[in-house]
Amino acid sequence: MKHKILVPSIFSGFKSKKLITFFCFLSIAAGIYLQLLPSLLLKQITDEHIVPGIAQGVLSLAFVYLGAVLMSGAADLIKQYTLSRLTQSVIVEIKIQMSEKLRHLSIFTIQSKTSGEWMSYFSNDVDTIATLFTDDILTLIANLGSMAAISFTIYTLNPAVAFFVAAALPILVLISYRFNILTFRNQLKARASLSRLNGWLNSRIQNTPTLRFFHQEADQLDKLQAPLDENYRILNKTNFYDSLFPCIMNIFRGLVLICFLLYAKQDIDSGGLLSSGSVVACVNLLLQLLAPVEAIAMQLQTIQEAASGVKRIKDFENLEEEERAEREINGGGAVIRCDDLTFAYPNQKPIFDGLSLTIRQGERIVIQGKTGEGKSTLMNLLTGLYAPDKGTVSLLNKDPFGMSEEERRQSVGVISQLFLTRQGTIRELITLNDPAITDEQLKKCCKLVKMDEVIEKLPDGYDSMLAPGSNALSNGQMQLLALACALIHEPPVLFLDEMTSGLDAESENEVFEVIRQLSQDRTIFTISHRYSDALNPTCILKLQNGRLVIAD
Amino acid sequence: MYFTSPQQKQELKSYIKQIRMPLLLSGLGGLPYNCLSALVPIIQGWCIDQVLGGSYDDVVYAVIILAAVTIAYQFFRFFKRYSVRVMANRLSANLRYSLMEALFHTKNDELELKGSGDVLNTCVKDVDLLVEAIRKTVTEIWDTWVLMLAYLAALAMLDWKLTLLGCIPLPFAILCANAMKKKVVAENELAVKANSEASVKLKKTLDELTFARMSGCEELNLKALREAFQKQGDTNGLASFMKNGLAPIYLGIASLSVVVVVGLGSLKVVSRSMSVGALLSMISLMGTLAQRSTVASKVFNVQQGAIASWHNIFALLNREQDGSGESLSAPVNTLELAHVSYMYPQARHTAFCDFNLKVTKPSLIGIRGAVGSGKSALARTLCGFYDYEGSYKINDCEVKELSEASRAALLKYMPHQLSCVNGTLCEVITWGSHPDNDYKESKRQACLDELTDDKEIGENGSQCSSGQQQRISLARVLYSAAEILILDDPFANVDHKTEIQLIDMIRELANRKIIFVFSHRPLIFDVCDRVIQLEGGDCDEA
Repeated sequence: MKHKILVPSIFSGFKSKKLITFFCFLSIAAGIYLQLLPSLLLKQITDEHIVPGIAQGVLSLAFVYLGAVLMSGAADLIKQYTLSRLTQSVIVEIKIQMSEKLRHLSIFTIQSKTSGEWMSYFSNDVDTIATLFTDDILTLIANLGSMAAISFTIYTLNPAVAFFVAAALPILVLISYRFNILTFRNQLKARASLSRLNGWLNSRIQNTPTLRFFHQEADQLDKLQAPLDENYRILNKTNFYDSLFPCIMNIFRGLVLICFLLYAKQDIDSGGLLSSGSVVACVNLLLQLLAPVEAIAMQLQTIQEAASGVKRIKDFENLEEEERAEREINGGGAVIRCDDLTFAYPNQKPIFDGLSLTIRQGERIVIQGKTGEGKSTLMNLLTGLYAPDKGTVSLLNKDPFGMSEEERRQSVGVISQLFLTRQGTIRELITLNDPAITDEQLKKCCKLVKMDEVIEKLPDGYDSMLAPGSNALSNGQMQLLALACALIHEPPVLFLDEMTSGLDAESENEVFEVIRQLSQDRTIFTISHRYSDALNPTCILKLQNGRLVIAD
Repeated sequence: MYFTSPQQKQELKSYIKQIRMPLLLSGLGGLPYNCLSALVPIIQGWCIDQVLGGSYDDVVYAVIILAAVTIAYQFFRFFKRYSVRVMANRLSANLRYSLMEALFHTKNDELELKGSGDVLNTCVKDVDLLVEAIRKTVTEIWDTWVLMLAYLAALAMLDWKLTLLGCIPLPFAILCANAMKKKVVAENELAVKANSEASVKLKKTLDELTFARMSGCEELNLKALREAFQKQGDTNGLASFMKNGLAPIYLGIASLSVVVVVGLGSLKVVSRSMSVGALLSMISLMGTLAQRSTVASKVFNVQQGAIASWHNIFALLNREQDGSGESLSAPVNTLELAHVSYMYPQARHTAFCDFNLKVTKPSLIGIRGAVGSGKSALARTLCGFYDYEGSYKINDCEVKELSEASRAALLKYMPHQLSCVNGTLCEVITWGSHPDNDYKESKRQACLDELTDDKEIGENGSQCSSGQQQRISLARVLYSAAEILILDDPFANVDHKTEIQLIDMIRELANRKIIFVFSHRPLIFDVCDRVIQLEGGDCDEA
């Protein structure tokens, strides 16, 4: 199953802003027309007033000129506003659709890429293509329109000049296009060298204390010269082309103007079509022509660049989605039950082939086994993170894989090492951002795990920020918070994943003491690589070659 | 090119002094460029006059002049643009060098308080913003103020009365742009904030996705993320419009100048007191002048932002430096702590206080204690690179007062996590020297023979198992000739057989050195000369 993202998002982005889209096109069309007016008015003033020497009516033409300027400004204003609104509307729509899709991807697909890689879909790629479909394409239309309008106006003034312009335009576009490619390539190199430099700086910044322990400061500063120098050279090269480009274009514009002036003189001398006013208007229009030409060349370039962004969003769109549906599975009176479970990770040999397990109300099961035997895999299947290839899993008479989130929070508490990698305020970490949890519930729960006093002693109390690596709380205290997080919805079933690894014996005892007190009336499933009877288990099973056996 | 920090590191002007050559060159290009840029429209107008009234030869002559002036104008333009950018690039390299230099000598406690993300942001983004602002200021001086002066002079030359009249609307355009500036900056700040919030939320959502799916809070997270995206879209739309979209308003006001010139100028041409070409020159000059006046205030925004960046940079440059001090060299005889207390930089309570200990060489001291008893804090104190209270002396010299170099030479600290930059095993252990005998010896001592010398370790040992990371960290400490070793949890993630080998090695080594071993595994304590039990900041000799 795959949801389309790109095309529907762009359509709905435009559709949800119909009025804005309409005004956007209107302002583009108006802008194209209005920019011609000043030149045409100058022609009229020259031909009808200056050459014959008639002063009357000049001032009213000047007011028309003023009107044209103001209206073209207004059109520009509307264009800028509508364009930025439309672009953002499409960007937001694509991002929302993409985040929607994340929810439907399998956990294996998610884990196949780093969070940095996923983020680049959301940032660079979306921005590039959303800008492509709004800003770039609409502006390209506007520029092509104004180039055509200027050329056509010149044609009405003098067809020969228009042909001359028609010959010169492709050359100008080609030159600026070439320059843009050259600049773009250099910019890529500059970006790569900057990211190398940043990587260098980042690794040294993070390791500064160590560099100081080993007195490597001077040495590392020497080594900094090389990446700085590389970056400096590449930037200079890029800037060389950046600086040269507008100069070359302006020289060409001057050349076109000079050719026109020479032609105009011959035409006037031979009594041709050009009036004085036409010469004035043509000079003005020719000078105006360069802006859209440069812009078009730039847009041809950005559209090419955006193609790679489009491809990447297409790849994202084509990721296979999982189907999760709520369904009842009779557990036959057991809290957890799996029958004939078969499971293999993508492109790997099966870990389980026909595994069955029944856990009844109030049982405390410990699963032991060596690394790689599939303890965590089993837990992930029972909690519904993975779907079995064959067989069924029943958790409180439901299929855990299709369980709604609300229901999942109410029925299971998972205590995982992953809790330690999260960041946020203590409140967020424990309540999982669930607005239904009240402060009383939060405090009660923290009291249960004996953390209420510790938390209240912190400078910001429940709003203290925690992140991996911050030393505000000890490892054991973090484990107790993980426990609080699992217990906040008071679920009847608890899953414990290697709860106390990385703790010394004393902290371990503290944590187990709390668990023992909480375990009454709860069904508990624990996996552990070390034997521990601290939990007072009702049954200890051993996972071996994909089978569960009673541990001796 | 060799980049250095200036003498007066904390002053911006000393960095400007470093780049005075390219700055001077840009000025040399800027002056003729701006003068010529006012000349070009005048010559264009003159050319049109020749076309309308002169002979063919006159036109050819005028056109040749136009070509020459255009080429010269563009040449100086290129020269100015390029040298300004070269100046900016050199400035940013020097600033980055200077920042790293300051950073390397900043006290560890202060570094931890600041957080590496913030420091990197300053070294990258703030430097870019500051340099961009300086570049734009230099460009502005030439392209706006000098250019406006040149244009005004050219206009006045053509017709000073008309110029004065035409300039009346310009201050209003500038005022209007200035009035909107605060709003623009505020909107932009909102957008920047929304961007960073959205990106933080996205990263968090992705990082915690597995946990969220397991715990049933994925929808909740995604809902928060969607809200952040929506806010990001709204603020960015408005900010980008405010930033670029308002220009037509200012331009509209400024364009009144052009209209004045068109209307009154045409009347003058009709009455034959001005040529058509001169009118066209004035329209063109006035148009550019109007446009420039509206962007003049824009640069001011950039400078405002740059001031904040300079504050960030200055804060890093101006840290308490931990460089010079007394020097003390081996051999070490005694080490004594009297009434020592230690507090983590972010914490409010001391990790331990009033700690006393006297050790003579050789000695192997084991230190144990529960989590939170202050083990790691004591290890950090002993290593000499973190602030402590009380007295900590080596051979009667206060450690605080020793130079960085002496402390690094006397003491070696193995933290409980490997911290290293990317490199091969040999590079990480020896800091870049060749595999010598000492290297081979320490590699053997740390039981690292399973790894080849050119094995890529990865940043912070990311390409090695956690047990290997631990032993690499140990080997690096052993490689140095330091006489005092502080080993924080060297046996974590190490299997039983290796642990025994390492204990034998440490025992043997301790006959020549002072070694502190912090551990929660019991075996090492059997061979220690002394064992100290830490408990909630108090200590007991066991």
